[in-house]
Amino acid sequence: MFPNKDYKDPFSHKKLKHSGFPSPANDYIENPINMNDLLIKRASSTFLMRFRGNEMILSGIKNNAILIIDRSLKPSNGNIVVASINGEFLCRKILLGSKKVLVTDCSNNKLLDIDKIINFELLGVVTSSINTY
Amino acid sequence: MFALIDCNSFYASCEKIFRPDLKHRPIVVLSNNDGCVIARSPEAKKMGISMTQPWYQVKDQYLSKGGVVFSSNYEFYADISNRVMNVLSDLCPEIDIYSIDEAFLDLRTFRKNIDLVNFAYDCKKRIKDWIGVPVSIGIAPTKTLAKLANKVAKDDPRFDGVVILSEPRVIKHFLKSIPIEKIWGIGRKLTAKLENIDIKTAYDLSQVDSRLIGDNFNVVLERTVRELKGQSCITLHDFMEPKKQIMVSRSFGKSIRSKSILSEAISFHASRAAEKLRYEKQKCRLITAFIRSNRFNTRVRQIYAAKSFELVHPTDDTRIIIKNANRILDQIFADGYQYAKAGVLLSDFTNRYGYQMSLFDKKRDEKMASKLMQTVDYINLMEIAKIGFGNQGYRNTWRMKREIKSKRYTTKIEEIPTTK
Repeated sequence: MFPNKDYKDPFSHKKLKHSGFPSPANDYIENPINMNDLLIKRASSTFLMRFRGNEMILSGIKNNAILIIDRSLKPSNGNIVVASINGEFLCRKILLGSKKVLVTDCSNNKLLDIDKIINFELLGVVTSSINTY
Repeated sequence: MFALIDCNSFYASCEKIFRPDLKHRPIVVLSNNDGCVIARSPEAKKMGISMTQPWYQVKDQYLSKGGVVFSSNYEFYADISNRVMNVLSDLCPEIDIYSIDEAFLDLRTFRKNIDLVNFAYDCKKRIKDWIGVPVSIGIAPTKTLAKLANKVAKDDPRFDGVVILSEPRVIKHFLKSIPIEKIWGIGRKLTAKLENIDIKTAYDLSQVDSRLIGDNFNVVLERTVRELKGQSCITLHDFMEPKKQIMVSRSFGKSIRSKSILSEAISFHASRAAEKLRYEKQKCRLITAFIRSNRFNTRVRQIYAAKSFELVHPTDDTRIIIKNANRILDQIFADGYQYAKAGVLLSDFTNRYGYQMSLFDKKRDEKMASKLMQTVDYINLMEIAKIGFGNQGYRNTWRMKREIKSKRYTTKIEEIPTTK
């Protein structure tokens, strides 16, 4: 999944044989844009998850979106995180005020008070989500 | 100083990463054919499940007590292992990966006054936070001592997963509490021999003159003694010795009576072994094949049959290896038994370029053969298609079972975990 020796960049050009005149752009060749570099800052702590539901639609996370989660990041106020609560993964926005809560962005009465949940464990911070249209 | 970082119940811990519902449940992971237990979570250990215990013996009781079982998911474990090793190599670039779940760090490149306690706990926390796998850490002046420290860190809950041996006084005290069979590389036979001459603890062994051991035992033990004394002498190189034999064997999903299916299995194993042989850049002179019944099933008639065949010229040619493995099968197969396992062993290696050609060697044929093998290996490597040789078979009767395998959470997009 991440850059390693087997990684094939879908954008990279095939090595084609060249005859005749050398390209005048030869001295200016850059690597094509690499989506992994763009989306993944630290490969060893980054995991992908599939999001199901409509609870995070206002944050732009649609049903079936792929979430990119970095476990090495500490969440700050307003980040979107994935956490396990009573044995189940939930993707929510985290608010770190006087009370630590997880909220969905659809309805405000679905607050989850983190300190009151016994089986709470933070998995990581969602750094991007990929929606396919 | 060296650190040994070892993941706790690695396969079972991997299985828990994306299953928060199993956090405190007992978990066991089974070997390739769901034959026996190869990893246990701490909860499963407490239930009295032991390593390499045949699964069918504990299955009913274990499951009825709420235990959870997985077939081994090597695709997933390998990815998690890579991540752990990458995080470790960021912390210390001098890393020797010793196995899928252990690595040595050479801390001699660190500055003198570094706080090793802090370093160890940072390391442990980082792997737990970033990847989700718990580790134990042993730090000591030599690899043998680090390995011992690690074992104690893992087994004794008082140490919270980290043991650091630096003061000579502490090391001495520590070694006195370690029976010799716990030392890296000392097996049952050697333990008996040493106990005979009144060497019972690691401390006893560390007090012996290492040259005396070298004369009376072997260089490996001499090295161990020197390592116990605190002189580092096992280097990265020692793990890299070329293989001396290659074994490929599998238990069958269910037992087999038919010779033709056995032959498919033997041919398949022979071809995998030949691939490995070429990867090691070796040629073998000795081919051994074996078949056996299920030794844990006392209700069936037992058989173990094996035979070796010595080639005139060393080879790495899949076709020759398959042909001879099947020739052996012809000789050892007996009707009326239920076979549970088959395997092929290649040994007596010579380096590809290092052996002498006899006068009658057909050089040209050999060149052609080596080209063919390269092509086969290359195509199989590309994973677009697999080519094999005639009778390897595609019937699945004898293939790996892996029935209760978890998802390949990190290597297949269709199988990534979900969240709500």
